[in-house]
Amino acid sequence: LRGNRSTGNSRYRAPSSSAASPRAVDSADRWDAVPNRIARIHQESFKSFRVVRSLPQSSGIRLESSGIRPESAEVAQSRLEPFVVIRSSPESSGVVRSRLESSGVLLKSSGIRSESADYVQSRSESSGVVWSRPESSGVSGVVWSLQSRPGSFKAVRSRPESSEISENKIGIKLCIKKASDATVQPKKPIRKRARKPRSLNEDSSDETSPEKRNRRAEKPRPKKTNNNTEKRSAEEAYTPPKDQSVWANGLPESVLYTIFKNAVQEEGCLPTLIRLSEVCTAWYKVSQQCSLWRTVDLGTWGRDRFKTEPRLKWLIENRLQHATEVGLANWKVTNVQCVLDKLLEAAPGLTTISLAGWKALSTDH
Amino acid sequence: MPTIKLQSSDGEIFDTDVQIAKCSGTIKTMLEDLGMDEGDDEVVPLPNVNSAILRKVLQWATFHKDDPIPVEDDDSKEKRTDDISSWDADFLKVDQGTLFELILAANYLDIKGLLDVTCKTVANMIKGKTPEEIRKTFNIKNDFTPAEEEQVRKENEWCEEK
Repeated sequence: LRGNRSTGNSRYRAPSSSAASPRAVDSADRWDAVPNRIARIHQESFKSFRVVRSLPQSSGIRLESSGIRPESAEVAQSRLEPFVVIRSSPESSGVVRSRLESSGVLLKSSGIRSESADYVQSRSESSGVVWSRPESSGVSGVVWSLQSRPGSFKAVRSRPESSEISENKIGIKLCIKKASDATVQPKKPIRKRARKPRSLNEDSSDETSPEKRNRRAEKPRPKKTNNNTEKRSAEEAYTPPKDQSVWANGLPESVLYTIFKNAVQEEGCLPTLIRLSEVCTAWYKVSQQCSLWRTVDLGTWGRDRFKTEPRLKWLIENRLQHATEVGLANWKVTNVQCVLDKLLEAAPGLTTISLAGWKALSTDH
Repeated sequence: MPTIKLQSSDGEIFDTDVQIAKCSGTIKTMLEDLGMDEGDDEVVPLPNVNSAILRKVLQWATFHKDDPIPVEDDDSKEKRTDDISSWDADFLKVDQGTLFELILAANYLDIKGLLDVTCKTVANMIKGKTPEEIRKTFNIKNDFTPAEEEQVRKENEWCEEK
């Protein structure tokens, strides 16, 4: 592994971000490869980022960066194989978390209030887009560019509105290049899920203490077991309700299907089918039939924070096979070609598609 | 006019115009396949339909006996749920139990027009309602296990449903 100060890869580099990058460049960034394909990255910016650290359990990289106050640093956590996590504290300039499952990038940026953080995720084969958002308390954007496979990385950009790095904040730009062998999957993925952003209170606790960090990591486990046990016993104790309505279990599926079809005829599938699926098990089953999902406006009815590429792929595979009209306004898609190909392949009957707000879309597509 | 005897589940015999009875795909097929001759005194048993519902069904069929035969389900045709004729709307001003029985009967007897209009009526009762409101309307109990409910919630979390 080696550090690469150049950010020439980032095709869409926002000018204002690069204007701020010298600050970061002034600081030392050092990358030490350590045995067992564990990367250790240590970066000291004169004011801001301090720690970048690897995660031994996986062959990925874990980066931690803390702000002015080290105690406010968040512990980042990597998940599964080749994979990078970068997180900076709210004090500095953003939280970044990324995942390199297939050289895509997951980025999380937050401001002072971590609960206002939004994230962008990309797990596409050959590109990743990273951006930060301004809503998170006016802290400027940070651009990280990550590269796991030389040549495969496409673009990093920060959203125009979030790319100005304000005077009194620190922004850094970092480009990580991982040796391709580091993308080999570890035998035993330790963690299943990247940790969610913690609340403000937790942020202020001393997280740089390894002891505390360990405690933190261990804590959820027994709790989880408890939950599972509770769940299991709840499951065993669960009995189906008596006197279930004939409307739930007395109608043949074909009839229920006809009713649902009529219900979605004029206004499209959403949100009706979602609502119907939550009524009871029989209705759920029928609502999942792809042939009901014809006119699907995911743009209007998708929650912005869930408009991610993996979610879209899931929907394409599980819901949109009979779709004729699909609205995808403002879905965050980086690998446009891949998604479009997938959609066309999955939904041969498609006649109308709306891609409003797709930032990565170009005439090539 | 040739007639046929239909027997409801509770034993009542309905002397019915064959033409009207034949709007039921099930009866039509039965007559044709079994070679039942008009004028025979044989009785067609309909064990799934009680007399009250059969009477309603025949009332509907009598009114609609001159309707053009509905074509097979055509997806390209824009169907609307508000095109229920006023006669049908009045006809379907019944309690939910009767509506439900009518749907089952229309399904069993294969009377497409009646099935369509009853399903549309139910669809109109569903539209615009939240899951809880739907459950209330039809007295449906939430029969998801906690785990299933969580799974459904997760599956649907992307959707701004409310």
